[in-house]
Amino acid sequence: MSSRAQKPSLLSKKFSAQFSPIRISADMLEGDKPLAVYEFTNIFFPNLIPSIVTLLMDMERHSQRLIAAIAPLKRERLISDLEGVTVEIRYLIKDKGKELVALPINICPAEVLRNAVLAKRGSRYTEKMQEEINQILTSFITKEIRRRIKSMIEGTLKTLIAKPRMPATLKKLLSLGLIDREGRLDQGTTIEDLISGKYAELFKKVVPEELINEAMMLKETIKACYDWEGEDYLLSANEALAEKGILEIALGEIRGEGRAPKEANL
Amino acid sequence: MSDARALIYVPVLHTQKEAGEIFLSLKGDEAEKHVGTSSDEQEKSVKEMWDGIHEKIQNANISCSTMRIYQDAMPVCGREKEIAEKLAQKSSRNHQLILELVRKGASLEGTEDPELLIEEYDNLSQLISKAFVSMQSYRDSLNEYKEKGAKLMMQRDAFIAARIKSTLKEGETPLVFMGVRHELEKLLRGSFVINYIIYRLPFKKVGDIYNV
Repeated sequence: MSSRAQKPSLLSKKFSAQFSPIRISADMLEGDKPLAVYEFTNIFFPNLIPSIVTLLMDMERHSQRLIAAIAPLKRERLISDLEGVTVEIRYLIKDKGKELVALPINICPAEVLRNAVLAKRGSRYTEKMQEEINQILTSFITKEIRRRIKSMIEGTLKTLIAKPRMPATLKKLLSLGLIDREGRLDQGTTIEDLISGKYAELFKKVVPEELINEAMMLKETIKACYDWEGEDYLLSANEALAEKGILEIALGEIRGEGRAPKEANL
Repeated sequence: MSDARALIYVPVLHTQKEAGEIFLSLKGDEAEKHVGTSSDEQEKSVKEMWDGIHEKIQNANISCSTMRIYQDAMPVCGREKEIAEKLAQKSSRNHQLILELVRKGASLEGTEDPELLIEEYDNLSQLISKAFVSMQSYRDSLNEYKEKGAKLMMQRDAFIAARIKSTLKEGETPLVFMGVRHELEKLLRGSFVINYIIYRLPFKKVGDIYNV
């Protein structure tokens, strides 16, 4: 099988070696920079990124129709003349020289023409890639929503702590170290912990119900809109491998002792 | 005041680094399937996470001699300690921590029904066999696995909950290490006051989410 069989994917580590329309520094998601960049871009270059993506998608989508209008001989000559030519556009956002977002667009005109002649959809902007781009953008949105919910909850807790008669549950949260005297949440606490999991019972007693409901609603919205919640990815291929590995060792130990309950395919 | 006993719950997430180490120690062909390698940063995150859990358990001020440990994927077989030792040797921080607690006097209890674990193993084997063909193939097989796995996971959880209730002795505190896919808490809430020990799990960066 040739390497052509491997479809380009943003998820692939080797992707940049093939074609990489968007690259985002994962570290960027940790700080406040994405929001600032997003706000700046929205003010000065509204719809910039969606426009570029749409333009590229349209190019792919309509290229067949446009190129069909060119006479076959002229098309062949163009393909031959353009062989090896690449058009490269770079869109970069840097923070102190470190690349945060890169949108390197590489177009090979000969390849575009050739694909159009073969009536073949370009491999670069497939639906799958669009889906992956959506996922990356969704991760930004999710992060921002989480930040806002966290900030709302912390604001509420801070107000409650400042009251002369502090609710007993709040005292418990403080004593457990889940919040500090400023109402800030423990470093490891996630929004999911507060609204539906780990600390939900405790927080429910001190955080207004409307706030919890709002957070739940936002979470549901993300899930419904993007059908992506993050949990799917918890069971990554490596996670599955690790689980299998652990079971293999555990069950192998029983089998070694002749205690396996039935023959496993170990 | 409720009479319910306290239970310490440690949600466990296998990381790429840990997965890699466990798998590299296994048979070659499968180990080769391990996706990607961990960066120093990831390695640091894993270490920090387990150091944090370790510290929080210590700070919980529970005597090890009154601690009974229940562990995800630990079959009821009488060889629990040997299994933990093997996995600890394969660099599993989870099992290294368990062994440390056992050395200090904690009891390690067989937790899961071996029959159900074999079923889980077979399902995972099927999933993995398709996982490395392509991302799409993995997603398809993951959906299939999730459908099959949901019922199995409920059975596993029911067994574990019953096991905890039946083996826990008077004056003991259960320390439960469970993978994030389990929903054991739901079955334990009525009988125990659950205290979660969570250290900041490494934030799911894009790279982690997408297995890059």
